[in-house]
Amino acid sequence: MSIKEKILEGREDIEKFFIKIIGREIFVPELDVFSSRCGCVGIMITVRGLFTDDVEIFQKQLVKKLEDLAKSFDINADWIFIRTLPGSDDVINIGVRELCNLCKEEYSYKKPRPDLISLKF
Amino acid sequence: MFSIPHPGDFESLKVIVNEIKKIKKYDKRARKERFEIYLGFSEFIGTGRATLHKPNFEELEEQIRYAKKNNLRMEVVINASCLGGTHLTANGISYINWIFNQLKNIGVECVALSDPYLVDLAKNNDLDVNVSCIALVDCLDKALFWDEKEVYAITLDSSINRHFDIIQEIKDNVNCKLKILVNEACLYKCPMRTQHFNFFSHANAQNIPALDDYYYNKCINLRIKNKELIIKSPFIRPEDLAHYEKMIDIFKISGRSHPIGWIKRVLLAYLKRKWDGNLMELLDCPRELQHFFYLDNKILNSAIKKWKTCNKRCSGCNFCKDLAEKALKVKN
Ligand SMILES: [Zn+2]
Repeated sequence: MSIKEKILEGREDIEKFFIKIIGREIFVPELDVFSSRCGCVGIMITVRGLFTDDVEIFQKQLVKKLEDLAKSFDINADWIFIRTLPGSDDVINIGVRELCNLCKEEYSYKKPRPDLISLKF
Repeated sequence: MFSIPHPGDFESLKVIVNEIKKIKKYDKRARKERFEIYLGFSEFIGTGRATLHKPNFEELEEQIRYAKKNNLRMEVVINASCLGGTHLTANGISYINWIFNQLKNIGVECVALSDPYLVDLAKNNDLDVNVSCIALVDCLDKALFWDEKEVYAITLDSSINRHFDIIQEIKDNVNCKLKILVNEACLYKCPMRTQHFNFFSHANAQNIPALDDYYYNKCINLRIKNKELIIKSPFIRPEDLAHYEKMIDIFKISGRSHPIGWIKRVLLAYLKRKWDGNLMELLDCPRELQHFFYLDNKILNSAIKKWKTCNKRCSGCNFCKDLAEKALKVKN
């Protein structure tokens, strides 16, 4: 499968996964595979319609799903997190990251920043 | 005393408290040190920085109790640079009075403010006031204006961090404490400072769906294009705190919107007054550039001597430019 097909499939797959597991419409407008200047590599997923409660309930399945997705891109899922809208329960991003040493030092916490919640760290 | 950035959620406060406890166990100097913690409170009035968590009064009360139990002063930052005129309306006045009264009731000792009218209201509500760096106090006349209001402290505009003559003159003539930002590292005399603070003030308080932070992106680009700007930016190295000790009462660490692991690193470096390696890893404003530049802290060892006596007429001096060539490298 080409990289392009893999990304296209990944986005669709995650969207379907949420709809199936949560039982209502969740919109995944974008899935990005990235590399950072620091040496981190990862996947960033934008979500709409997902809330922290949903994630809490299905955390185990979600982590497993994201680990598999990362593996398909040859990325180690060192850190899996969600980003919420400040002051709300709306999840707006889900991130999977193979951390560089500096970012490991900065982000390896249950709640490294008030708008980030680690599901795996 | 050290002033520590607190992102605002209880989890982060616990990490900070644990870190202080830990270091007090093995570091003699830290054992004698006193600490205060500051967090943004962006309800209606807004603050001058991004706020990633907005605690309500109950949560804040709980955190204050916890902080006091651990011997920490807690300061609530309400330092919007622009209030859009709302504070001078009848509704605005009673709302702000209500907020200050609530803060007082839940045990807040001190608020950081930048508007003189708000300072008067806070004093009326028996709150101590720290004049925020957003008030841009960069000379004696401004400092005297605030000192006459019997404020607890003035946080100096970081643009004068390396103007030792001005700081000394302020010190000699005010009664309040002086605070200095050690690692904010904004551009020296930043031409966009007011606009950037105004943008944050409104974006925070009113959830404006801004497309992009123009000022931040501009600021980063300027430094990539001209790395001398990084050296000229008025940060204070952990090793150089001693040069400020006689004039400054409180060293304030900047960076409440960064991850807690970063805050921990910076706090430890300044407490130990020592940092080996890339100084960019301690600087707040251009934090993303820690991945791009390596600023060799050792090479800056004696720069403070020059900065202390420098007349700040950069066109006739290449000191910072030469230093940038030597100390600052693009990471590979
Ligand atoms: Zn990284």
